[in-house]
Amino acid sequence: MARLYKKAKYEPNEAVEFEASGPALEISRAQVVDPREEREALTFMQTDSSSYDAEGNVRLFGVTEEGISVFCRVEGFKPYFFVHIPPTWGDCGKLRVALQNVLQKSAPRFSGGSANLVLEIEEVERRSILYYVPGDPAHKFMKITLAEPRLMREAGGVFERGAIEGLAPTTTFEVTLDYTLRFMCDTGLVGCSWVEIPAGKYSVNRFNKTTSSQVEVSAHYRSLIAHKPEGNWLLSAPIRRLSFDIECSGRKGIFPEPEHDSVIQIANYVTTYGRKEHVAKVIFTLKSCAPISGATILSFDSEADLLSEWSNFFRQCDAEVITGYNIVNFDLPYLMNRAEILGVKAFPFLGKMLNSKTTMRSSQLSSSAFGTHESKDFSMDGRVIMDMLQIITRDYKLRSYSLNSVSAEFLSEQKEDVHYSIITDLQQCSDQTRRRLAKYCLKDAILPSRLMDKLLSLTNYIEMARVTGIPLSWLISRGHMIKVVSLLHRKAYEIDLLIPDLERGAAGGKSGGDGPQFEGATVIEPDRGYYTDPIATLDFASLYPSIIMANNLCYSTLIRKDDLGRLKKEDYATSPTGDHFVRSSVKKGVLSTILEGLLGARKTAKKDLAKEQDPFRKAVLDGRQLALKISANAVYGFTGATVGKLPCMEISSSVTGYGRDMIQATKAGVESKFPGSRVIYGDTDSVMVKFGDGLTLERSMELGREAANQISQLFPNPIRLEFEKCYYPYLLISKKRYAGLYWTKLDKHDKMDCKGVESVRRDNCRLVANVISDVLESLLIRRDREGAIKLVKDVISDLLQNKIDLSLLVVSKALTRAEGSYDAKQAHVTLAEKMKSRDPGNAPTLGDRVPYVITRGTKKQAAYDRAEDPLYALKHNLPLDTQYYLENMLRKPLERIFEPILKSRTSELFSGGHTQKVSVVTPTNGIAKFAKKQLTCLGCRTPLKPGTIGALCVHCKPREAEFYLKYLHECETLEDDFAALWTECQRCMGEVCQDVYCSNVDCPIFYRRTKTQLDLAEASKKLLRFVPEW
Amino acid sequence: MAQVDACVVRKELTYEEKWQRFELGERKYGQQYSQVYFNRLNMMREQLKKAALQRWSSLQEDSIMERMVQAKDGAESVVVGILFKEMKLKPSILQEYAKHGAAMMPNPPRRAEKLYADESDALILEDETGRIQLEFHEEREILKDLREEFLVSGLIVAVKGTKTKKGLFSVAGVCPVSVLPQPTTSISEDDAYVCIVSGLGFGDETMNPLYADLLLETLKGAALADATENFKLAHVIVAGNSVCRAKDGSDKGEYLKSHKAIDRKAQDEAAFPMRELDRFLCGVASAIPMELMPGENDPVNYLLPQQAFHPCLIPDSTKFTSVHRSTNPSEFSLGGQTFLGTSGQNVDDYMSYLPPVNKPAEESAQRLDVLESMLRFGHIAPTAPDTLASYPFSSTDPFVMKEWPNLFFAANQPSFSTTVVSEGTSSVRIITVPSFSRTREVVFVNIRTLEPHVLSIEISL
Repeated sequence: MARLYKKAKYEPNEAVEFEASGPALEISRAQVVDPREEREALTFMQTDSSSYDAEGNVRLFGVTEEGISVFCRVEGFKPYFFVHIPPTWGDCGKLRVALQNVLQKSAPRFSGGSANLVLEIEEVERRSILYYVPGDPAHKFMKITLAEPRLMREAGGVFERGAIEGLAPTTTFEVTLDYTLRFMCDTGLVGCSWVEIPAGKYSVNRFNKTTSSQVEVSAHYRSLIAHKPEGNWLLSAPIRRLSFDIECSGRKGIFPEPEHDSVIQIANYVTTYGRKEHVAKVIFTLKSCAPISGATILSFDSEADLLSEWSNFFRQCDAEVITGYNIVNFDLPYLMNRAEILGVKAFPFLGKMLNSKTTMRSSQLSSSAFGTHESKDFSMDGRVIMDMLQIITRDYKLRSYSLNSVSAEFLSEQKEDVHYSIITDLQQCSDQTRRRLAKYCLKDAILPSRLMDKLLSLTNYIEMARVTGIPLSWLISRGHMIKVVSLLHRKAYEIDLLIPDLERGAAGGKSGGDGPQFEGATVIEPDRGYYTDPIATLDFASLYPSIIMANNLCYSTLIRKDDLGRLKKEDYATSPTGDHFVRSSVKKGVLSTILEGLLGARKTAKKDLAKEQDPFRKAVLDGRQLALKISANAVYGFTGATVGKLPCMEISSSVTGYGRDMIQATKAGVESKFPGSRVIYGDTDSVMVKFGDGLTLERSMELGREAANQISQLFPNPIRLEFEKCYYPYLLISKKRYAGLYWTKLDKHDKMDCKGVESVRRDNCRLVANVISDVLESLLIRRDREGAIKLVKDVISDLLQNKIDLSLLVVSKALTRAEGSYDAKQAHVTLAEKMKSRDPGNAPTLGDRVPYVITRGTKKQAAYDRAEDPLYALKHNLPLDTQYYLENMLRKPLERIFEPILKSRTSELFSGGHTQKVSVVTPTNGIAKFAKKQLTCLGCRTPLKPGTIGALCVHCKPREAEFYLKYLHECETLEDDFAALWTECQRCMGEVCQDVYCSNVDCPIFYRRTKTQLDLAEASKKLLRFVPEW
Repeated sequence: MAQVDACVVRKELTYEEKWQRFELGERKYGQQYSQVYFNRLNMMREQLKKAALQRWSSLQEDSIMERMVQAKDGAESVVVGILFKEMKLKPSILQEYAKHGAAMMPNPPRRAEKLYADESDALILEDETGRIQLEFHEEREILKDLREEFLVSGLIVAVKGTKTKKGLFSVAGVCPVSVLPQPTTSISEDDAYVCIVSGLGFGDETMNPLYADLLLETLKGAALADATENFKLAHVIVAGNSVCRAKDGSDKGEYLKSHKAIDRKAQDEAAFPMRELDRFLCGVASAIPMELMPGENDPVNYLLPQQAFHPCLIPDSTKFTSVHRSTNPSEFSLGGQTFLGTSGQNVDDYMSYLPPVNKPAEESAQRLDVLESMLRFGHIAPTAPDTLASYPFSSTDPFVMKEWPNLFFAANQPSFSTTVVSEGTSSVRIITVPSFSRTREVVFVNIRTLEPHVLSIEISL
C-alpha cells in the first residue's frame, strides 16, 4: 500500500515509530517557501497567542495570507507589576535586593541558586483606577520586572503578605493580569489580528523545529508591528479547520465506555475558512469499509494503529480550529482515554507544539451569562477547539440541542439518526454495513462545520476577539469577564492608570453577598389586556452603556464618602442609590471612554456595513458590530459581578437606579405631554404607550416618534429614547410575557413578536407550542377571537378523540443521573427502567434522551408510572391519557393567553360540547389479547353472524358502495401519506437501495411514518373485507 | 337501398389478460421502498450490461463493473445503476411541515402539480454498494440519442466514464436498455377497431351529460351513417378518470372529520357518479367487449398499480362478462397485438422533471418523448416511488418491461399525439390519449395496422 502522507517529522520523548499505510492523501497546505528573513517581511494573522514557554517567550501561532501556518517565538518580553510603597521605604535598589532574597527563600524551586529573579525595579508616577481623589494627584509606584511569568504570583504574594521586613502588607497592582494579555496590551496586539515582522527583524528556524507549523521564526517583541483589523487587515487568513466525529462499538444496552468499548471509526472533514470547496474527507475505520465517493477511507485491523495513525493525520493536517459536536465532552476524552488504555504512546501530542503532551482536565466554567457547565479542558497549543455544541448552547435558546434538531433548526435539514445500539451490529456485519456507518459518521463530521459556516460562528468569534483584544480560545474557555478585563487594561495602560488586584469579594465598598441583588428592572406594572389599538414602543438605545456614559459612572470617578467634603457641589452628581461620581468636566471616566470607543466603532461598522458589497466583508462587519454591542453591554455586568475581577456595586446599582428613574420619568413625561395617552407597561429599557382610543397606526407612529424626540430632551447625552415599532394588536399577558404584531412600516407588519409565551422548555410536548402559536396567529394576524376560541376547542376535541399526531404529544427528557439518585419518581426514569426489563439491549442509558407519552394505565397508577415509549404505545395501540395532556399541559398556557381576552370565562374553553366525545383505542396487549374478536358490520357495527361473507350485515348491504367509498377514502389518504413519508426518509438517508433505519425522534415524521404503516395495514384489511360476490 | 344487410356482424378479437403482475393480493405495509429499487436494479442489470457491450463495441468485457465500488479512480469503466435526481423543488412533506410552521399535521403536497427542474439539480448513480454524483461535459453528444433532462430518478442505466479524484463520475456516455424483444403472434388480417377513451369524468358538473350519451351511441354504432364500418369496432378501452371526484386536498382536519359518521345524503352524493358510470358501461358492454381501467380520480386505491374497480361500485355492468375490470397500468392482447398502457400518472409525473415548454404542440411532442424514453429505458414508471406514489413491492418491480408491447399508450393527456418507435425488428406504436372531458375526443386504433385516428364528438345546439 502506498504511504499515507508525509511521515510526521517529530519524535516525542519516548521514541515511537509511525507506520503509515493506506492510499496517498492530499492534505498538505499551501506550498511553503521559507521566507528570506533579510529581504522580506513576514506577515500573518495570529490565531492563538495564549501560551508561553518557561522563559516567558510568547508563542504566536498564525496563518499567512497564502495559508501557510506560522509559529513565532516572541522574545524579550518580561512580566511586571506595581506596588504602592510608602516614601519612607527608600530606593529601588534596596527593594530589589530585599525582594530577591525573599523570593529565593520562599520559592527555592525557581532559583537555580543565584539566578536573577528580579530584573529591574523602577519608580514611576501613576494613579489607581479606583476612586477619584480630590485634586487627582499622581502617586509614586514601584514597577517591578521579573525574570519569568511564573514568579508573578509569588512576588505579588510577598507584598500582600508583607513578607519583606519593614514593609506593611500592601495592595499590588496588575499581578493577576494574565501574562499573554499583558503582552498583547503592551504591544497593541488584539486577538486574531495581523502581525508584521519587518525584514531583518526575525530569524527562521529551519532545523529541529519544535512545532508542526510550516514556518517557524523568532523575533523580539519590539519588532512586531500590530495591524489594526481595518481596511486591508479586515479579512481573515485562510485558517484550516478540522471537524471530526467518532463512532464507538458499544455492548448491548450500555453507552460506550472507553474502558471496554473500542473506537471503530473517526470521520474527518477538513476545510479552509472562507473557501467553499473542502480540503479532504477522510474516514478512519476499524476493519475494511467499502468506498464512499469523494471520501478517502483508511482501514486498520488494530485499533491502536487506527488511533496512532489518526493522531498522525491530526498533526499533519495541522488545523488551527478543531470542531465537531460535543467533541469536548465526548469524542476527545474518549479518544484520549482509549489511547491511554491501549498504550498508544504517540497519541496525546495533538497541539502544535510537538513535544508538549496534550493533557485533559475537568473544569467548571461558571458564568452569570452562560451558567455553570462541567467541561473538559485540553492543552492543545496553537489550536482552538470550537465545539459547536458548546457554541450553540451558549448563543441560542433551543428546545433541544441534539445535532438532529440543531440541524433542523439552522440548516432546515432532518438528519438520519442511528441509535448506538445498532452501531455494533453494523460494524460486525460486512464492509457494506461499515460503509453505511462511515457515511453516517462522515455526515456528523460535516454538519458541525456547516453549522459553523451557517451561523457565522468563526467570523463572529474572530471579530469578538478583535474587538475585545483577547485570544480566540479564551472566548470559548472563559466567560464574559475577561473581555472587559482586556478592554479595561488596554485603556488604563494608555492613560497610566493602574488596576489593583482585589481579593475576591473584597471589592469596593458595600459589596459582598452572593451576587448582584438589585431591585428588579421592571418598573411599570403591566396593565394586562388585549389591545386592538396600536401600542407604540419607545426604547432606550443601549440603555446601560449610555447611562454609564451620561453620568460618567466609573471606578475612576467614584468618590469616597470621606472625600466628599473636599469637593465643590457642582463637580459631582449623586446617583439614585446615593453614590457620588465626579462630573466628566472634572475627570472623564475610563468606562465612559471605553464605551464611547465601542459604540463609536459600532456606528462606523454599521455605516461600513451598509456600504459594503462583498458578502464576506459584510459578514465580518456584521460580526464586528454585534461583538461591539455585546462587549458594550458586558461592561455593566462586569461592574456588578461580585466574584469578578473588579466588582463595584456603587456603579452597577447606580446604573439600574438611573434606569428605573428614567422609565418613571418617561411615563410621567409621556402622560403629561400627550393627554389621553397611557403607559401600559414598562420593561428594562422600553416603554409601551397607548396614545389614545381608535388611533390609526400612522398617527400612533407619528406620536411615537414625536414622544421619543421630546422625552429624549429630558435626559443627558447620549441617552436617547427611540421610537422603533408599534405593536398592533398587542396581547399583554403579564410581566415579560406578551405577544403582538410588530410594525415598523405602514404597509405590512414585520413579524409576530412573542416574548415569554412560546415555551422553549423541552419538558413540554410540541402540541403546546403549536396550539399557542396558532392561537396567537389567529388573534393577532387574523384578529379573530372567535376563530382562536374555535381553534382551541377543535384541538381539544381532536385530542380527546385521539386524532392528534403522536409526535406532537411526545415529551422528552434526558436521563442524566442513575436511577435512585433522583429525589422524586420521574416519568422518564421509571420508563427507562421499564424498558430495560423489556429489552435490555435497546433501553435508554445514562445520557440518552428518553422520549415518552403518558398513557391511560390503570386508575391507581401515578402519572410517572404511566409514561410509555411512544413507539411501543403506537405498536400496541395503548390509549393515551388525553385528559392528562389537556389538564397538565395545555390548560395553563392557554388560560394565560385567554385571560386578558375572556377574563373569568376561560373555563369555557375546557368544558362544553367539544369535550363530550372521547374515544379510546383498544390496546392489543394485556387483557385485550385474550378477548376473542368478533367481526362487526363496517356499516352499523353490529356483530356479524358467523359465516357472513363480506363486510356488512344484511341491513347495510344495500348501501355497500357508500360504505366502501368511505373506507376507501380513509385508505387512499393513508396511502398518500405512506408514499410521501417513506420516500422522504429514503431521500433524507441519501440512498435508495437500502432500508431506512433512522431513529431521529426529533424529526416530525418519525412517529407519523410508523403510525401510517400500522394504520394503512389496518385500513386496507378493512377494505379487503368487502369481498366481491362475483 | 332498402335492402337490409343481415350479415353485419360485430368483429370479435381474441383477447387475453396480461395484467396479473399488477394485481396485489394481500397488502402489506411494513416494508420500505428500498426493496423496489433493489429489485428493479437486479431485474435489469444483466440486460444493461449486454446493452452497454452492444452500444460501445470497443469495450472490453472486464471494464464493465459488477458493482460500482469496483470502479477505480482515473480508469474508464462502465457502471450499471439507478439514476436518482436530487431536486430541491420536488414535493416534500418535510417542507410542508416547515412551511406550515405550527400546523398540526400537514398533508403530503400534491404531486405533479408543479415542475421540479432547477439549476441546482444533481444527477446521481446508485447501486447496492454506493452512490456517486455524475458530471457531464459540455458536449452533449456523449449521451447520443438521449437528452440529459430525460434522465430522471429511478431509471436503470449503464454509464461509461471515469471516477475523478473529486469523487464524481465524469460521464462519457449513458446507455439505456434501448430495445426489448417483442412477442410475435399472428395478427388478424381484417380491419377491426379498438376505441380508447379516457377521462369520461362522470360527476363533473361542468360537463354536459349529452356528450357521454352521444359517445355511447357512437360506440354502439347507432349514431353513424356507415354502419358497416362502425361495426368493425371490436373493443373499447376506458382508460381511467371515469368519474370526477373532488379529491380533498385541503387540510388534514377535513380528513379527520371524515371519520365521523357520514350522513346518508353525503354518502349518496358520493356514490352518484358511480351509478352514472355504471349505466354508461352497461350501455357499451351490451354491444362491445370492454376494458375498464381505473385512473387517478377513480375510487380505487391511490398507490400504483391501481387495482380494478370494486364490483359493488358498478354492480350492473360487472354482471356483463364482456366487461374486463383491469388494473392501471394494464396489459392485454387484442387480436394478437399487445397493448400496454396507463391512465397517465406515470407520464404526468415524468413531465414534472422536464424543463417547461410553452406551446401545446411542444408539450405533445414532449409527452411522446416521455413515452419513448420509458420504452427505451424499459420501465413504465421510473419516477415511482420517489415522486410517483406506488405500492412498496417487496420482491419484484412490476413496472419493469420485459418485452416491448405493440402499442404503448398513456391516457388522460391534454391532447392526442402519436408516433412509432422502431429499433431493429421491433416497433411500437405510441399514443397519448386525450382526456374526453377536456377535449371531447376519443382515439380509434386499427388493430391490423395499429394506425390511430381521432374521433371528436360535437354537439351543435
